[in-house]
Amino acid sequence: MKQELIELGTHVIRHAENLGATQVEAYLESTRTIEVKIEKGLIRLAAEKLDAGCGVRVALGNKLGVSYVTSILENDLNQTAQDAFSAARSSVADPDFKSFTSTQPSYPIVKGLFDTELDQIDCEQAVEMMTRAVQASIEVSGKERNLIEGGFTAESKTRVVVNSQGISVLSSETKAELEVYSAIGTGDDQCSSWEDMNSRNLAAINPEMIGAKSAQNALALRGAKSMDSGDLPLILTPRALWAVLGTGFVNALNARQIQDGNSYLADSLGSQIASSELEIFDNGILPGALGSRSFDAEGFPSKNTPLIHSGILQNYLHDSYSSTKDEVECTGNAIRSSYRVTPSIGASNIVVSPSTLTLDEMISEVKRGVLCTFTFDRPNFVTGELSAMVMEGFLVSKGEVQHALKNTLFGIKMQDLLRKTIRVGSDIESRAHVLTPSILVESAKITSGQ
Amino acid sequence: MEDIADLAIETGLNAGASFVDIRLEYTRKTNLDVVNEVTRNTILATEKGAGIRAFVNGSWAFGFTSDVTKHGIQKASESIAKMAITASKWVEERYEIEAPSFQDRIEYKAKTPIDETPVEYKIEQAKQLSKDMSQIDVRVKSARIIYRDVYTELCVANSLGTMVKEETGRIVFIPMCTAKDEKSAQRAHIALGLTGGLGDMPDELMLMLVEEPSRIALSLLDSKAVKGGVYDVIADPPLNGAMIHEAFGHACEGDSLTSGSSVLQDRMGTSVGPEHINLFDDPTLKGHVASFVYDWEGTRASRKQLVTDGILTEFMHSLDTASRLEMKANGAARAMTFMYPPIPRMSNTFMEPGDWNLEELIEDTKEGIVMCNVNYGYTDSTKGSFMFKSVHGQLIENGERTDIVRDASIAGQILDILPKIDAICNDFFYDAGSCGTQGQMAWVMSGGPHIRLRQVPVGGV
Repeated sequence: MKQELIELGTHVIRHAENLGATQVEAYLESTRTIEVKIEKGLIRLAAEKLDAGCGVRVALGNKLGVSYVTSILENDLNQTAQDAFSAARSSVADPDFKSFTSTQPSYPIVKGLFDTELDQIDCEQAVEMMTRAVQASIEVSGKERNLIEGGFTAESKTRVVVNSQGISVLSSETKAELEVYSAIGTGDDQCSSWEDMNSRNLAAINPEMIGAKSAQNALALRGAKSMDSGDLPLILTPRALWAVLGTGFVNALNARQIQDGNSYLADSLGSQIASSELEIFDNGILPGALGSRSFDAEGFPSKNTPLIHSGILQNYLHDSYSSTKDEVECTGNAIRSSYRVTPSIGASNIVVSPSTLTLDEMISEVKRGVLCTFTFDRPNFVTGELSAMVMEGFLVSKGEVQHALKNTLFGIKMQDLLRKTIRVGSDIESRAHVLTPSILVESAKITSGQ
Repeated sequence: MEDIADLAIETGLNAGASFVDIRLEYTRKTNLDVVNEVTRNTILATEKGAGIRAFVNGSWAFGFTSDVTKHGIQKASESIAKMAITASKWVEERYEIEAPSFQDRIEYKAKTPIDETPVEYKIEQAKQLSKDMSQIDVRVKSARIIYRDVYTELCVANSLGTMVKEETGRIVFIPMCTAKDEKSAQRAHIALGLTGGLGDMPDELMLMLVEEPSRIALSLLDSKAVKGGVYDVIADPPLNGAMIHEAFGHACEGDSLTSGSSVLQDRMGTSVGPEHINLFDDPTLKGHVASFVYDWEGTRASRKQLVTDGILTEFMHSLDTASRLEMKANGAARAMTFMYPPIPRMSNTFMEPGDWNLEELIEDTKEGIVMCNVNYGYTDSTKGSFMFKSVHGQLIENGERTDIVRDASIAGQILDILPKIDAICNDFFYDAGSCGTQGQMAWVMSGGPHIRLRQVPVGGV
């Protein structure tokens, strides 16, 4: 199958060139996904998904067209090449488009991206992982009612990028995700939370830890109260930073958004934008990490790109289009979650360098403030203003966690969040493509109500 | 197509399933992204294949294949039925799928059908909208038009005898405007959609596509970031609609009840808000983007009154949730494509208007904030909490509108929010949005009148 994908890609290129295309890129995927979902602690759905398809980009001079089809049969591929060609023909010329990625001298070897065990997993093994996690949650909640939901997904994907400029690359990658939600108790005493884990390796997924942690996280939220509003210190743990950094910071570094002036980090390259505590990288070659790959969605080699060093913004995230337009080196940040999605700019792995400070030590430094362990919010990317609900969080007083919070929001400009990060912790966690420890922000606007 | 569907069902039943269904889909999509009259993206796509489910003793298995030959379907159906048998070993709740069957064929009719209209015409239309928007004011720096259309032929069949074929055409416009002056840059967008063809959108809405995002973005140039605090809030129709959708609608979806996680569990027939509140979800409304005749399980769609005079009266069900809860399937199951299993979803969700006049309500409010439009929102139905973020707003001081503010957000508890509504206006508006649940995106409409909420926490910077 693997070699066949390269041949099919080459076929698409030839077909579109015969139609009159100047440049062509074919992105093919073949994915097997095993999925198990649970509800009330019992299996609700088992699924095996076999997905193979192709996304095509065609250039006619500097007019661009895109298509995809959920199939890799020859007739369907011919049709999708025709569709991309028709789309290009009717598009308006984009003078900034020069070329798809051209031949590259070499690619990094990134270890730990494929696990044979995960590639060959069956439905029964997936069910077994899930039931172990459920059992662990029940052991924590004891006799109390515990409504457990969640799922286990194992994916094995081969992806291929072939283009008319000499790119022909193939990579096979696996990943697994196990997530558990525990809702414990009844009525006003009901509390709920979650835990999850992603890995490229089945052996790294620990169902007992995830199940138990989801229940412990839920119980910790019992007795949530509101608090007095004010400007207060804010600790964000890795679970909260997944959205705040993974979206709120990363999207602002998207070079296409910068070029359009739609980012609070526009015109900031080389400037002091963060406290000197923060060191942040986009590392696409970190062994075994979820966002690692040897080439990006356009076939450009992955690399480790410094983003913030000594508080100074070092780089934006580029794909081939934006780097050509800015006349800078490409950072290999074209991403594509599926052939059904057009390539865009995104992070590989966002890595924040840890210090030696534990989370408990960080909390002990706060006289009165908020510990936010989960939020889902993103800022206004033009102004950087972030107003976020504390989905899970706690009041900290006299250096100790007091009680869980409800109806509480925090507000801060992302620019201030970066500058006012006065402590970085040692508790680094990997949450999907974000690897970060907790951070302490000097002050944020806390609003809380009944 | 019928032969293939019958083969899938027969194969699954023979392999030991007690219920089997199949969705055979052929979809053509056009996605356009035009910025300042230049095409950023022109996408023509095809999604074709079959999604098959098998049910055994309270356990479901799902799979899909793009190989819709007899051999491909037979292989997929057999493997899915076997998977359901394997999974059923871990199920305790035993029940059967019981529901009426439907046989029908719904054809797509439009003056200018989307599947027969050349992409060049659609690009010209998007370019014109972009041009019109950029000409409104010199401060309009980016006039972006996202256009999406989807033509679908869907055949749904199941082992209870359902065989429904429905063709639909849906169009969504998302115009976005970035305005810039020497002080700041601001962005605003709206979303409007329909089922039908090109040219079916009324002229006043076409005009709104150009004028509304630019009006909001320009007004935001003079805005302040809102100060966090507890306010009396007047929510405009799109924000009200989003609140109904997030804060209440999700908790009425059948699967949040079967999972035991909904805060509305065991609340049927009880009071969940003041007597003047009536909430609906109605996929049968003609021409709306989330309208359909049959749902993705082949059940005839129906209007659902979720709340009647403040009393919780109806939920949204799939075949599974209706069978488990021994309620009637009411045609609320939707799947993003054949690659996903159908689940209960909202369609066109709205609050019935009341009798307050908006200007009188502002005068009556004295101190507060009018919050408008939706950036995004989300809900956690197990915690009963929700959050949504408005795009822009205006402070009310001494009963009069004063400063323009931006990015205000409301957070709260589902069961606390309806009782805080003390006034409902006599106006009404709908807008389109996309809702993501369990990894599946669906076009939805939400709307209602302006409403006032007393003393809610508003987040600011």
